[in-house]
Order: sequence, then C-alpha cells, then structure tokens
Amino acid sequence: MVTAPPEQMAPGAGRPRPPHVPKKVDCPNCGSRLEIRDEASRLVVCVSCGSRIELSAAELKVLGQAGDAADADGWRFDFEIGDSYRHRMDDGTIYRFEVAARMAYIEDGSRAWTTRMYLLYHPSRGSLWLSEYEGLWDVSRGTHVMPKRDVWGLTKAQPVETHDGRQWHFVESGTYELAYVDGALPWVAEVGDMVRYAELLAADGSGETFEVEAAAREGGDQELEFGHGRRLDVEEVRRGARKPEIRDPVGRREDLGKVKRGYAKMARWAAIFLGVNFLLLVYALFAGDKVLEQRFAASDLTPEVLSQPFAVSDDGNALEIRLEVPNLSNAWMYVDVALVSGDDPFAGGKVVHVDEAGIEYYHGSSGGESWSEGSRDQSLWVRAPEAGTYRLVLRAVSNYGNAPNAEASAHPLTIEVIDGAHRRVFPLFGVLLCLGGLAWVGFSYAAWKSPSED
Amino acid sequence: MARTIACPSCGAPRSILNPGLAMFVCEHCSSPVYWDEEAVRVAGETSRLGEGFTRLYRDATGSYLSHRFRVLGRVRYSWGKGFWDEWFLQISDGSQRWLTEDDHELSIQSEVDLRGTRPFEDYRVNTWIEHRGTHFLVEETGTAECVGFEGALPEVFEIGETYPYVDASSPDGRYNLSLEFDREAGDGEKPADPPTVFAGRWLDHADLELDDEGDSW
Repeated sequence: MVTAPPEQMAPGAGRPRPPHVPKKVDCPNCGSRLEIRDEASRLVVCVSCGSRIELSAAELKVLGQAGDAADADGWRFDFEIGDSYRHRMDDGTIYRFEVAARMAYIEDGSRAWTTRMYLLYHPSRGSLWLSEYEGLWDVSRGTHVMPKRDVWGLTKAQPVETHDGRQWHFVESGTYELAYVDGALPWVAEVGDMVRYAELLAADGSGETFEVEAAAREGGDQELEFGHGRRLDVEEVRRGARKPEIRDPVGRREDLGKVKRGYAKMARWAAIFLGVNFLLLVYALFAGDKVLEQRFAASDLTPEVLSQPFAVSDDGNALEIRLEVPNLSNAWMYVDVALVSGDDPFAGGKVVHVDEAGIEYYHGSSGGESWSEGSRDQSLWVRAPEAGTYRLVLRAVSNYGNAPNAEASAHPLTIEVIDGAHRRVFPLFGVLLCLGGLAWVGFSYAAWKSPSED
Repeated sequence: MARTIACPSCGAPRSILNPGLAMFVCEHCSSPVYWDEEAVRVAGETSRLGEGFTRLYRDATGSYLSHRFRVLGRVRYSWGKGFWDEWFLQISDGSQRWLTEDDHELSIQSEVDLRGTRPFEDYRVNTWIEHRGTHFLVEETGTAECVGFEGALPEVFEIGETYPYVDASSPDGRYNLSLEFDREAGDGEKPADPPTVFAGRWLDHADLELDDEGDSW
C-alpha cells in the first residue's frame, strides 16, 4: 500500500495541465505535415497521398494506401475530417465533437450496401460513432452492458433482454467489410477487415439501438464489443453538423414494434371475424324448424303430387326445401317444385313460388381409384310472403346414365321443409375467408421475420 | 519521509514522497530508474510518451466518484493494432488504483485475489469467469506489450515486456475483470500461473473530474 501526504491530492496541488498541442508528423511517403488531435490515434491516413501510416512509438510506418481523394468522393461522405458535430449528451449538455476518422463498410461486396461511419472525438467526453446508411443516421458509444441471449441467428423482431433490464427487438445481423478509411483511428484498421454485427432496437419505441460486434484479430485473438445509441432524424444531424445540405434519407426505417402490432392486430381481427362467422355457421346449421318430411314413391312423382300441408310461422320466413334421392346412382332426376298457399290448393290456393332442381350423382372407379361426381341431394330456398299453411306441388322425372330424356321418375324422392332456415353458404364462406386471412397473416409474418443473411 | 534519488543517467534529483513506489521516469532524460537496497539503476530503454492532449496527465489532481486522486504515473501497452494507457493513481484514502483508458473508455481497477484461474489458452471470448459471486463475460483476449511509461510507478516495468491478458465485464456493464498472465519478455515461455487479477468498474467520462480540464475545446 502506498501512503502519501494528503496535501498531494488537494485541489490545486497538482501540476498545471500541459498545453494541448496536437501531434504533428510528416508523412514518410510524401512528406506532408499531418496534425493529429487525438493522442490515442494509432493510424492516420495522409490527406495528400492517401498513405495509411501506423504511428508506433518508434517510427512511422507506411502500411499502404487507403485511397485517394477521388475515392473518398466516391463514397459520398457527408463530413470532412475535422468537421464539428454538436451532440447532446444524456445529461442534456451539448458538446462539440470533431470528426477524427471516416470509414465505409460494405456488405456482400457491394457498394450498394454502404454504411458510412464517422469517429467523433472530444478530449474530455471520449468518442462517439456517427453512422449513416441510405440517409438514415445513428449515434452510439461503447457500452459493456450485454444481451441475455446469443443474438446471432435470431429472426426479425425476436425479443432480446439486456442485463440492465431493457427490452429490445432484433433487427438484423450480418458481416461488414471495411472498404475505405481515412483520418486518424485509435487502432490500425485495414481495408478488408471483417466485423460481424447484430443490431437491436428498443422495444419501448424510444428509437434507442443496441449493437453487438465481433471481430477477429491476428493470432486467433478475438474481441466482442457492445454499443448503445439511438436513431437520429436527418434534421437533428443537419442541426448538429450545421450542414443543411445533408441529403434526405432514401431508406426507410421499420418500426418493428409497430409492424409486430400491425400483424397482431390483423390476426386478432381475423380471429374475431372467424369466430363470428363460425358462430353464424353453427347457428345456420341448427336454425329453423322442420315442418315437413315426406317420402314419395317414384310412381307418385308423375304427373304431379301434392305434399302434406305445413305451417310457416312468420311473415317472410325463409324456407329451405331439401330434396334427396337416396338411391340415385349413376342417374339423374329433374324436379319441378311449386309452393302453394292454403291448405287446399284446389280451393283458392295461390302459387307463391315455382322452382326447379336437377339432381345427379355418378360414381365409379378408374385405374384403381374411386371417383364420384354430383350429389344425391339439393336444397331450394324460397321466402314465404306471410305466415300460414302451405303445400308443395312436385313433379319429377329421372333416368340412368346419360339418357337425355325421361317420361317418369325411376327413383323415390324424400323432401324436408325447414321453416325459418338460414343459408349456410355465407357464413361458411366467411369462415373459409377468415381462415385464409389468418393463414396469410401467419405466412406474411413468417416471411417478414425470415432470418437475415449471415 | 521523503527520499531523494539521483538519476543514474543524468544526475537529476528526484524526490520520492510516496513509499512503495518502485520506479520513476526521469523528467530530464526520460531514463527509467529503479532502486533496491543496494543501488539505483536504469532499467532498459528510455521512454518518452507525449503529453498535452490526453485528458489525464502526470501529476494531475482530480476526483472520480468523490474519491480524490493524484496521477503519479502511466504505463502504455500495445495490443498490436492499438494501445491503451494505464494511469497509476494515488487515492486520498491511501490506496492505489489503476485507471485504464482504452479507446477513451475509462475504468478504475485494483488488484484482487481470484481463485480457480486457468491457463491463458483456456480463456475464450464469450466464456464466463466468476469472481465473488459475479459472473464476468470475456470480451477480449490478447497479448500486451509495454511500449512506454512515465512518472512514478509501483513496480519495475520494461519496454518490450509482453504478457497475455484476458478482459471481461459483468453483463450489466458496471464492473470489469482483467487477468494478466506473467511472461518474461522475449523468451517465449508459457505463461506462469496464477495471473495477476484486477477488478474494478467502468467509469463514464462524467464520473471523472480533473482540477484542470484545460481550455475549452
């Protein structure tokens, strides 16, 4: 343990601060005088010849080229080295940072996927990273807060919690490749350096971001870094940089929470409509009262036959007339149906509705597989104008196979009349539509969350 | 009691007010000077570290989280593609601390005991170390080389010394752990167990106040 007189640490007991003198070095390649304002810089790029110079303690070492001015223009940086950027810190104080370095990262080897990064430096507030992709800006700084789960290989909007209790949504992951660098950096960056990253967005909609980066080093060493920041709108960047000419964004940010909520809302409504239609379908299946069930022999059906009377309970009730030919097999039946009012149609009854039904059913087997076509039953729908007693007048002919005509019926017919019936086709269609909608929402959500290329 | 030591290289006197210091860098000729009961010696190469535009500087006074301190010295390490500084602080309570500045990230550390350490080769990024009930995730492994020092320091450093290191942080981002494995410079021997372990906490720049912050930026 080192003990020392307490007066050594009293305010004012220390040595006055040495004057801030930026380091000046001469480029070993072209001789240009370079000024370095961040003492932690380890790499500087000569603004004249583009040489990448390593600032070792012993001597300056040229590592190669980082590109010339034209190449820098090609990357379309919005800031020059030495530009100021005024940033509001967490405590609300605004500090002026300087752009110390610029980097361009690409993905999949294409300049179409360029992220431009600016290292901002302040002598007593450390460094920040300002990054831009398609005109969308973020600012961040290093943190040692870590996610509670492995973030590699997650799907979009998957939840992630960090150890400070914050909740995040996974946005994307990928691998950057350093394609351009200039200025002065605190490490020796090389064009071609690869960095694996994963980006998260705050679940509370604050626009805060969290990033994980993994970089391999020489000799098998590795480094894992974490960054915490927030999204900036372009107006904020223009004000901070005092550069109104900074371009409008061409990209668009997804509000992950909003998209997720949108899908959840669609699924919820589809489920609600599905439920409603299902209930309507169930109701339609069991609604109404059977007021007539009668079987007619084949011989009864020509020339015509009168059914038993039946009562319709309410004005305007829908009637379902179900016609069934139970033993119809590779045959057809054609039925004329008339609804007549009154107990005795021959004593002042009125024809209310006339309809017809064609019922056919064919079946067989082909190539070892059974097939069937048509149906042995059919329903007709009619609305009774008023409550009262009604009868049906029926006439039917039937025949086998493809015989085009018939003079009489070869098959018996069973009829049922349901008073107050409800069509099932509409709620059934509604159920199928809603199921289709739910399936579409599910597939669409799965496609939106599909894993990032990595 | 103060002790005055003359630099063996240039003869400049230096008062040593703090017992427990083991070396200093002569302010006149930059020679690293250490001493034992028998003699005062120069240790290896001279060391010149620039000053004037780091926030901390030798013999600065200030406070971090209400602890008063004085900067006595600095050691600079390189990890190959970059470097970091470790500032040796004298604290007002009589203790000593190392304030690490790595890419403008600050942490304050002191030496601790850690049981159950393993050989350096067994530590990998994204694995865990436990210390006093707290789990630390390994964020970085590498080999550090001493590339310079200044001021007064509690042990003898030599330029060119290398040692493997493991850096880890608690997942809540508050605390850190560093393991330094001893290796004699240049001989390529396997690191000897156990490592020297430092534990501490990360500091925000706002947590650090210097009595003289200099002119406005």
